[in-house]
Amino acid sequence: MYDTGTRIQTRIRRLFSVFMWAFIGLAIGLAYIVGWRGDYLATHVRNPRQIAIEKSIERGGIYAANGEALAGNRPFQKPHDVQRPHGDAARRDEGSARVYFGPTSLVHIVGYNHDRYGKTGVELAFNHQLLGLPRGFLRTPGLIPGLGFGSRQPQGVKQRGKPRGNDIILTIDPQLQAVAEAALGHRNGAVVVLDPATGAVLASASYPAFDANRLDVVWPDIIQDPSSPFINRATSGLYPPGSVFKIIVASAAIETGLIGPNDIFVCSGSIDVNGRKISCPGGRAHGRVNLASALALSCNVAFIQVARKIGGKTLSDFARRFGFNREIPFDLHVNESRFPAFRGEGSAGGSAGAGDGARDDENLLAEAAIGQGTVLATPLHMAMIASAIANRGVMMRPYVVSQVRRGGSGETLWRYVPARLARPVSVSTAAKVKDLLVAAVESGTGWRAGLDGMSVAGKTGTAQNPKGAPHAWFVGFAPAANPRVAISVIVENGGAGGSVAAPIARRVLDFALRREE
Amino acid sequence: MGFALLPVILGGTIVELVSRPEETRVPMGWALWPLYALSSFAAFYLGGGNKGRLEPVIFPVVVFLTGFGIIETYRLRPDLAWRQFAWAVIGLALLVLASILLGDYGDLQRYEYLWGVLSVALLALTIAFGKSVGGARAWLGFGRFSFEPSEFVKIFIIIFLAAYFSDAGTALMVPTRRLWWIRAPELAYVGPLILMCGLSFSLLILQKDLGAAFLFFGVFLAMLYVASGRPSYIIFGLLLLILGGVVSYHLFDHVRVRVDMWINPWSDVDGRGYQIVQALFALGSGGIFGSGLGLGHPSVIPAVETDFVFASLCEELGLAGGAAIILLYLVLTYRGFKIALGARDEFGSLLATGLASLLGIQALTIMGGVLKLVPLTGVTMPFLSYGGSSLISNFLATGLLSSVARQGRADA
Repeated sequence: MYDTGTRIQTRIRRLFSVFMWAFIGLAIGLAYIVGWRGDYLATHVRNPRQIAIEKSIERGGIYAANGEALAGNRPFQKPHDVQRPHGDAARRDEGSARVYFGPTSLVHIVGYNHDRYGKTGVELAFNHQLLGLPRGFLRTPGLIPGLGFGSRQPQGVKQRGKPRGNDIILTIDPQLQAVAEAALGHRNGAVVVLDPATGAVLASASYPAFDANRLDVVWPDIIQDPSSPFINRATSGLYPPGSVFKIIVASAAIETGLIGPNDIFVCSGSIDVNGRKISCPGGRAHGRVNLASALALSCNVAFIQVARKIGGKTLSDFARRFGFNREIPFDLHVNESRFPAFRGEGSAGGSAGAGDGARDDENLLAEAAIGQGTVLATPLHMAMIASAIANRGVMMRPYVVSQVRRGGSGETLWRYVPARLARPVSVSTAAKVKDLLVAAVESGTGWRAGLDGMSVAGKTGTAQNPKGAPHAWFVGFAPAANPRVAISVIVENGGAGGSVAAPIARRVLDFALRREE
Repeated sequence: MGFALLPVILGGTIVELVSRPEETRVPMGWALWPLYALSSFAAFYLGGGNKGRLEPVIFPVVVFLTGFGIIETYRLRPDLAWRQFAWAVIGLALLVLASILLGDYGDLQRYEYLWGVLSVALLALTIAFGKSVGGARAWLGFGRFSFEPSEFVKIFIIIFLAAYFSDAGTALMVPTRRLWWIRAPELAYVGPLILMCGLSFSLLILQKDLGAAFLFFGVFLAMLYVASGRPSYIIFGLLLLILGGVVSYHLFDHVRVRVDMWINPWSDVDGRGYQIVQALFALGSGGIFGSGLGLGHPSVIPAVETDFVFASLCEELGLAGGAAIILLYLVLTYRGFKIALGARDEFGSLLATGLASLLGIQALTIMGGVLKLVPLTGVTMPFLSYGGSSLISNFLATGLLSSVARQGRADA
C-alpha cells in the first residue's frame, strides 16, 4: 500500500500518465461532441449561426415560369419592368428583408421568410437552395454516417459583397394565378390548375390568404382569424369530394368491366340503405339511366348501385390507386386524402351476410360511392385525379419548383424532370371516362363550365358537410381532345357545384386556353 | 523556431485577409505578425536558444501558442490585439531575463518562506482591496492598471512547496505515530495541507474564484504525491476535495450554478446555461476541419477571448485544430515532467512537477469545462487566452522550467 520506497522518478512517471490519460479523455470528449453530437448542435434552432449565416448570404429570388419575380430582397431593383410590390409599401415590414410580388394568393406557395415568424412554403422547403448552401447546412449526411464530415458552415467564399444564393423558378403562371384568385373572389376555398402531362402546378389559389409583405401588421389578426388564412386549402384542406368522387367509381366500374355501357339502373329519386334513405339532389327521380347518364346527371341512386356491384374492397383498391390513403410527394406538404377501410368483402349485389360488419360496410360503401361519409380529399389531389384521366390514365407527380439557377449567372443547376406517380387506370378506361366527363359538361350538371368551341370534361360535386351549406366542387380538364390544363375548384359551403364552382372553372379554363388567341 | 512561427504568421495573414471589411480593424494590424516573429527570434537568441540554453521543445511550443493567442485576440477582439502583443513581448523579455539573471534556480530555495509569505500576503491584499471581474473578486487595481495576483501566487506557492517538501527530506516520509486506525501523517505534511486547504477555501469563499481554488489544490496534491509517495495522502486529499465540493455546492450559489449548468445547461439556455450552450454550438458547427480562421461566428460566446478561446479555435479549425491544441498541451506537460525527471536535485524535480502540473491542470480544467466534461471554472488557457497576468505568469513558469532543464543537463 505504501510506496514510500519508490523512487521519485517512478512517481513523476505515474503522475504524468494520469495527465496523459486525462488529455486523451479530453480528445475523445471533443471527438464525441463534434462527431456524434455535431449535427444536432450545428442545426439546433437556438444556434445563432443559422441566422448569422443566412444574413451573410444574398438570398436567391423566387421567379414565376415566365421569369417574373415573385420574391426578392429589399431593396429590390427589378431590371426592366416596373411593378409595385403588393401591399402598402409605406407600411413595410421591418422584420423581413424580403419583398413579395405578384398575386397575394401566392403566399401559400411562395411562403414567407421572416425573422420572427419563421419560414413557410418554398421559402422553407428550398431554404438551402435559396442560400446556395449544400443540403448539409441543415443535415449533413457525412462521409461516415453519423460522423459528420467537414464543417457545417458555408465555406464563405469571399466575393465582392455577399455571396449569392440560388434562384428558384416555379411552374406558376402569374396571370393565370391572378385570374384564379379573382375567379374565386372572397369565398373560402381553393383553385388548383395543373398541366396534366407533366404535373406542373400552373396556379394554386387558396382563400383567405394574407399579404406576406405586411406580416408584422397582419399577424395578430390572422392568428385569430377563425377561417385560418395560414392554411393552404389547396394542399392541406381535406374536404368530402361529394359527387366528384364518382369519377373514381366510374373508372373502377369500367376498368373492372363490371358495368357495361348499356347496363341500366333505375332511379326512383332515393334508395334505401339499411333503413336510411339516400336521395338524389332535390329528390328528383332520374328514371332509367346508364353509367354515362348517371354521371352526367350525378345520380346518387345509380352510383350506389354501381358501387354495390363493384364491391367495397375493389372500390377501396381503386381509391388507393388514385392516391387515397397515400402520401402525395410534392415540393410542399400535402395532407393525405382518405378513403374508409372496409371490414370485410364488400357486399356485391346484396349478399346474404347481414351481420353488423356487413351492415357497416354497406353504409360506408353507399356513402363512399357518392364521396360522402369519411371520404376526404385535398383540392390538389382532385386536380391530380382529373389529370390522370386527361393524361391517358397516367398520374404525374405534382411539382411547383421547375428549376434552380445560380444567382447572378443564371446557369441552370437543377431542372425538374416530370415523373410518373401512378397508373390508376388503362388508356382505354381513361378514354371512356373522359367521354363520360365530356358528356357531363356538355349535357349534364357541369354545363356552366363549358366553353364555346372547345370541349371541356368535368364533374361537379355538391358535398354535404356538417358545417352548413354543401361545398361546391368542380373537377375537370380541357380541351378534351388534347388536354392542356386540369382544374379543381372548391368553394367551402358555396352550395351547388354546378352553379358555384363550374363558373369559376370556366373562367380560369377560358383564360388558360384562349389567352393566346 | 521557424516551424513555430510560420503558422502564426500564416494564421495572422489569413485572419487579416478574411476579416470582414465592416468590422473595425486596428491600425497596423498586419504588423503584429512580423513584429511578433522578430520578438520571438530576439528572445531566442538573447536567451541563448542557439547555445541550447532554452528548452528545445517548450520554447517553440510556447511561442506558437502565444502567437496563436494573439491571432485569436486579433480575430475576436481586434482592439485588444496590440495589448496582448505587448504582454507577450513582456513575457518573452521576462523569460530571457530569468534565463540570464537566474543563474541557479537553487537560489530560489533559499528564500523558501518568503514565497509562502508573499503568496498569503498577495491573496490577503486581493481579498481586502480586490475588485470583482466576472463574478470573481480576484483583481488588484492600481489606477488604470490591474492584475490578477492569484496568477502569480500560483508560481510562488509552487516554489514554496517545492522548497518545503525537499527540505522536509525523506526521513519525514515514514509515519511514526498512529491516530486510531490511520497512520498519522507527519506534521511536516499536515502543515502545508492545512495551509493549502485554507488558501483554496479562502479563494473559493472570499474571492469566489472556483477555478483558482481547484487549481491550487490540484497542483498541491500532485506535488504532495511526488514528494511523499504516499497514496493515502492523495486519497485523503481527494476526499477533502470531494467533501469541499459537496459542501460548497450546498453552501454557495455560484458553485451550485456551475454544477447545475454542467449537468444540464439546456434547462436555462438563455440564462445561466447560455455560455456553455453557445460553446457547444460552436464546437458542433465547426465540424472536423472547422469553418476556417475568421469565418466562424465564435463572437456569440461570452468571454470567448479569455476562458472560451478553445471553443473559438475548435469552431474555426475544427476537431483537427482542437486535437492539435490538446496535443500541444500534452507535449508541454510531457516536457515539464521530463524536466522533473532529469532535474539535478529534489527541489528541481518538485519545482518542475509543480509547474508542469500547473500548466496541465489549467489546460485540462478549462478545456474540459468548455467541452462540458467537467463543471466550468474560470481558468484561462495557458498562453492562448487573452490576459496579461495569466500570460506573464505562464511565461515565468516556462522560464523556471527552462532553468531547471538547463542545470539538470549541465550536471548530468
